[in-house]
Amino acid sequence: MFKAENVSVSYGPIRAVRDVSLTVGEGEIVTLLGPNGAGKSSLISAIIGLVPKTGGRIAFRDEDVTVLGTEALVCRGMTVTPEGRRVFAELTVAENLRLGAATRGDPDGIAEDTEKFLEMFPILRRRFHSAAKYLSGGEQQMLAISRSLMSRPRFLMLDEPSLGLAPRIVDQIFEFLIQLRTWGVTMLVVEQNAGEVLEFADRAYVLASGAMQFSGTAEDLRQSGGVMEMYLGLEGH
Amino acid sequence: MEYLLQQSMNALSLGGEYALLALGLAIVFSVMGLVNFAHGDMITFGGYAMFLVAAGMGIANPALLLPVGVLSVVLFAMFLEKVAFKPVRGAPPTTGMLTAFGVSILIQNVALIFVGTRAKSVPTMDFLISNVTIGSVRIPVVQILETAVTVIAIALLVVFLRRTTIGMAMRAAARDVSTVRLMGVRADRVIATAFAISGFLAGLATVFVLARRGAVDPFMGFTPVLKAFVAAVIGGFGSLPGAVIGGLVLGVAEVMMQVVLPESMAGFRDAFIFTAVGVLLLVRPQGILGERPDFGEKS
Repeated sequence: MFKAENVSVSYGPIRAVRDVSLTVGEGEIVTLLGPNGAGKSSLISAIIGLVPKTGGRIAFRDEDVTVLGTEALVCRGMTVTPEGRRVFAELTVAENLRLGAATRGDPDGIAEDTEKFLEMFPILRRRFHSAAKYLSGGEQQMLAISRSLMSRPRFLMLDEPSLGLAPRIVDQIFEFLIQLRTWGVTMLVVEQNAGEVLEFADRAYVLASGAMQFSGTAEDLRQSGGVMEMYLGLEGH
Repeated sequence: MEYLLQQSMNALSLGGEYALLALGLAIVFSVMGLVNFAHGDMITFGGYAMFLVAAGMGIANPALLLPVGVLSVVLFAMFLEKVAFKPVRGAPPTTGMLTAFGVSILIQNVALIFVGTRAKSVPTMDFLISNVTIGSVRIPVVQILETAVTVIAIALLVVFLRRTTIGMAMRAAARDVSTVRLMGVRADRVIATAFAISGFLAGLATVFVLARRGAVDPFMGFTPVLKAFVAAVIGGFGSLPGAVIGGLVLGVAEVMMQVVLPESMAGFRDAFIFTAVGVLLLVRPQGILGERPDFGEKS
């Protein structure tokens, strides 16, 4: 349902991403792994139109969306939960969720979805009217993902959702992602730490120094000790 | 007692005018980082629009003339955003600032060439400069209206920013425009709305500036907006509550100086005030409600 072909991103003379291709099928969870500075965030930002692509094509649900801006892509059902969560710190939890639904015009549906996430993450209900800056890192990540889902995306890209979170919270977030798959959301999960995400991802890509180094099933990647060790600092199984 | 009441009214209305203008500057600055030096010339534009309607078309009815003033500034602000500021949006902040200077010079010169240097009177504002007597206190109508309008405008703005999606997006965009775009909110719309609000507030101020002066000239917007800049800096540039507080503080300070200073030193009023502002900024460089810029990490 999603396809990126030969995407490149440059910042001045520096080529952060070089001719990277990637596909994600309907209902899949695909992970994009790679060390810090590999170009993962640049690639995601380019896909969603926040930084300009210097080359390549993007297709979503059989439509060429290469030239569309961020807002148009979100309206078509793509979105990103950005690295570092980026909740609106001064706005309340309620307002953060409301803005997540900015593209929607169905107040009943919005209220229903809000209720769904408050049910899922009770802490958000307790903090519903306080500013998001008072939430802990894990709570902010729950809010950030819920906020992304408020637009009812078909394709959700999560940029390092486990970054800086305690292992227990990471488990909770990942369990939520697994559950999300049953709701029919297709996902691309960007991670630096391969360990846990490979346990539930269908397929994996490894990006390093701006170029794609590996693509295959999560199982293949786990077996290929060389790739794991060289790019991800992990021993293969 | 009466004197005190009169002077308080004076301070409130002047502070209100500064607050309206400072808010307009702060709203645009907060969503797009632009210091709009052409803000004063929007007032000038509104003044001429009212002059042209009053003198050119002979419409003297204030119920028609005042909306013309406000509306013309709103439309002009949105027009400036489209033709002047949008094309330089991605450029460094200095480019936006220089663009604003350019727009300002252009407007002033258009007024000089096509209307002339002499101040033109706008004769229809008589009811605004009359006084009402409450007990033994005489208060100019314009001051009462200005204070009331400022309070109402700020209340409306608060409701707008808290209750509407686009208002929430504007508050969010003050910190993080790209994440607002990830919500599917068009940055264009947020910025256009910011200019429209800034124009609306400046339009209200135009009516009052004009009521006090009774005439338009090509540089009429300069002094009020200079003061509004000072107000915004006192409050903390970019902070909306800061702009209101800064405006009131400045208005009160000016009126107090007028009251306290002996006549021989009255000319130094602004010097005293700017010195006080300087001292304030030494103690709190970010202004009363501003935040220290933080040079944090990537996330």
